[in-house]
Order: sequence, then C-alpha cells, then structure tokens
Amino acid sequence: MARQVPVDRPEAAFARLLSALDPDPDRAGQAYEHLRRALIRFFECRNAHPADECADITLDRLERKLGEATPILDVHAFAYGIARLVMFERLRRPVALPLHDAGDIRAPEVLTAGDQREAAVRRCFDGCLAGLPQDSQALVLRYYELEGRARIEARRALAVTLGLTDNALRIRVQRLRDRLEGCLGTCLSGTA
Amino acid sequence: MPHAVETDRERRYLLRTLSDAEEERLEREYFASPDALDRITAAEEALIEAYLDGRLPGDERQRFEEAYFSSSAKQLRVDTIRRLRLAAGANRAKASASAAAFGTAAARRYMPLAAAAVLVIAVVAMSWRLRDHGPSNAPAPAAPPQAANPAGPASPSGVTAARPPAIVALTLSPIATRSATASRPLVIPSGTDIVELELAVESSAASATRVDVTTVAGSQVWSGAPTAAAQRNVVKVQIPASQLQPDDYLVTLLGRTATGASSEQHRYFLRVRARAARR
Repeated sequence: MARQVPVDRPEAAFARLLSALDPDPDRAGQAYEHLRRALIRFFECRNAHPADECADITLDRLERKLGEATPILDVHAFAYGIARLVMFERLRRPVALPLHDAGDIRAPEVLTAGDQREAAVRRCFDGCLAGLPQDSQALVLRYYELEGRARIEARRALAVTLGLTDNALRIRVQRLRDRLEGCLGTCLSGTA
Repeated sequence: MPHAVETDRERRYLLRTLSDAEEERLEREYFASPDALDRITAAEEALIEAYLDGRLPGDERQRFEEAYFSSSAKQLRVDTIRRLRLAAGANRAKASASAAAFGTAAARRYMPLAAAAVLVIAVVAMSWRLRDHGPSNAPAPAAPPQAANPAGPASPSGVTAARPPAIVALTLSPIATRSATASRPLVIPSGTDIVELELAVESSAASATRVDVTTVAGSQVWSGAPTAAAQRNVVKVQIPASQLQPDDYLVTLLGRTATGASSEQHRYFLRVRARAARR
C-alpha cells in the first residue's frame, strides 16, 4: 500500500531542509543558495530545460524525502541522486519549450525579427544596467574594460584597489551579472 | 582571474567532452563544495570571453555554440557579457571624450583673456610706433591670410560634387584557421561608405552564393551576394558601412555543393570597434 505523504506547510518543509543542510541558520542559508546554484548548473549542462524549474522540482522532492522516517546522511549526495532522476525524466518526455530552447543553434524568431528583438534587448539591458547601484555599475563596467592582456592586468589592479583577491572580485562581478541576467530575463519575457 | 583559475577539466565539462564517469565525479564535487562550483563558473566566464574574443579553436567553437546557443538561459549569459564589454568600451570612450571636452572648455574659458592680452600688446606696440613715426608713416594693415581649403574650392551652389564611395577593405580568414583568431578589430574611419570584406576560402570561390552577417547573439544585420569579380581563393563582398555598428559579428559564407545543395562553406569572425575619442 502506498505510504501516505504527510501534508507539510511549505515553510516547515523549507525549515527542515535548511536545518538538514546546516544547523547554523546563517550557514544554512548559504548552503541552500549553493545547492540551488549547483542544481541549476547541473540541469543547464545536461540540457534539461528550464534549469531553474528542474532545480525547484528537485528541491521539492528533497524536502519531502527529508520529512520521511529514513534519515538522509549526506544531503548533497542525495540531492544529486534526485537531480539525476529529474534529468532522466525530463529528457525522456517531450517538453513544451520556447522555440529558442528547442535545440536549434539560432533562434528562428531572432533571425526573422532581428531588428525588433535587438531593440528590445538593448532597451532591457540599458534599463537593467541603470537599475544597478552606481558603484556596482561602475565596478562591472570597469571589469569588462579593455581587451586581451591589458584586460587581465586591469582586473588585477582593480582587485588590488578594492582590497580583494582576484577570485573574490570575479565572484562579486558574477553576482552582479547574475542580477543583471535575472532582470534581463524578466524584462524580455515582458516584451516577448 | 578567469585565465588563471580555469582548468581543463571544468572547461571540458562545460563543452560536454568529459566521459560519463568524469562528468559524474565533477558534478558530485560541485554539489558538495562551493569552491568547486566557483571553479566551474570561472571556467565558464573564461570560455565565454575566449569565444567572444574569437580565440576558440574550430572544434571548441562548434561545441561551444552547440552547448550555449541551444538554451535561451545560456545564450542570455553570453549576450550579457558581450553587451557588458561593449558598454564598458563605450563608457571608456565617453570618459575620454569628456576629458577632451574639458580641455576644450578650459581653452574657451581662457580664450578671451588671451585675446585681451594680445590686444593690449598690439595697442602698446601701435602707440610706440605712432609716437616714433607719426600717423602718416603708419603701415597699412596687411590683409589677413586666406585659410587654406583642403577640400578645394566650394561649388557655387554650396552642394558638394558627387564623389566615388569611400571603401575600407579587410581580409578575413576562416575561423578554423589559426590566423583567424589573431585578427585585429576593424575601426571604420568616418566618411566610409562601404566595407569590403575579402573572405579567404580553401576551395574555389566560384561556388559561393551568399554571405550572411549576424551579431554573435544571432541578430542578422546583413545578407547578400558576393561581388561578381571573385578571385580564385577569395570571395569579396561589399557591405554598407552604416550596417556595421561597433559589435562582434559572425560572417557566414554559403555556397553550392557539387550536387547543387546549399551549404555553409566557412565562418569568419569580424570585430568592429568604435574610433577612440580624440583628445
């Protein structure tokens, strides 16, 4: 007989996931962010689309499993196992995808309505960039200045000026880029 | 920096060239460790920048395009970095222009003082001359020299005579060849009407039928036939300069196979950059 899945409130399930990731609430929040990023990266690389939706399905199932009696010793390894199952399910069944996610190298609508789309993307990009705080905007633009060797040297100098390691600077810029990408995605879905 | 932390294994993972076992090992690592995940992110940034720089060898470029242009999220990532680089370049050019404008403004501000000083000197000199020689001996003021007109005499109606189009020519090698990765950006001089691309081909140029120019993000900017006067191993194509704004482009040469079917023959990377602001 199928086991009755307890109906949890989402907050309780989420709290259970956080405490399974780390007993310390601050570190648990960071661990959750890391797990979600890892899941999105995994689904992106394995071409299971949309990656963020697949990541959320995995996290939902993980939360449910954590509510069951069997203890889970390694949450990350367990999440990876669920992610693989979700990926296989996603790759097996045909999924309704936006046209540009269907595997064609160039999106057909980009080719047919190139000018219009370019104008929309440019508008969204300018708006999203302007929406960043002034210092973040300046940082991300300085990071992408110049070319070749000069760019590498300039980034090194920028890191020194800010008192950061090269890696910390790259991560800081990557977080800003993530924000920009998120804003762009939202803006473009509104103009599509 | 991305180049320093980039590892071959992460890069191959992103391009999907690892074995299944290696792939799984790496995935388990980055699920367990934020540092391992950061290494993937760093490798990805380096990979995207190498692609945008036109530094990826042919097989990697193809794998990159398969991996990154098959998903809107990843395509957006490439496009965001490309736009940030362009915005950073424009920002820098604007800063240089502002510095130059500041110089001009300063010159404008002090120009009346300088003119006043010249006038004072002239008046003093004239008064000395009048005191020494009297007004009758004062030399007639010389006519001011005519400014040289480098463009030649203006036409009576003020309309410039028809001139032949200004053409800038550039030779591109196919992306797969080593020299293609080292091609310099094209800076189109102002007043240019036509950019003539000379596309090197490995086989006969006679079978070339069409050339497509798209931004690396996939927006088509121009498409047309090669010019009739094609040489043996070069296909020439003329594109209106106004169509090539500062950006990174993929130029695709299409042609007919022996069976008459249309197929892609070569791809080229074209980088157009803005002229630096003059100080």
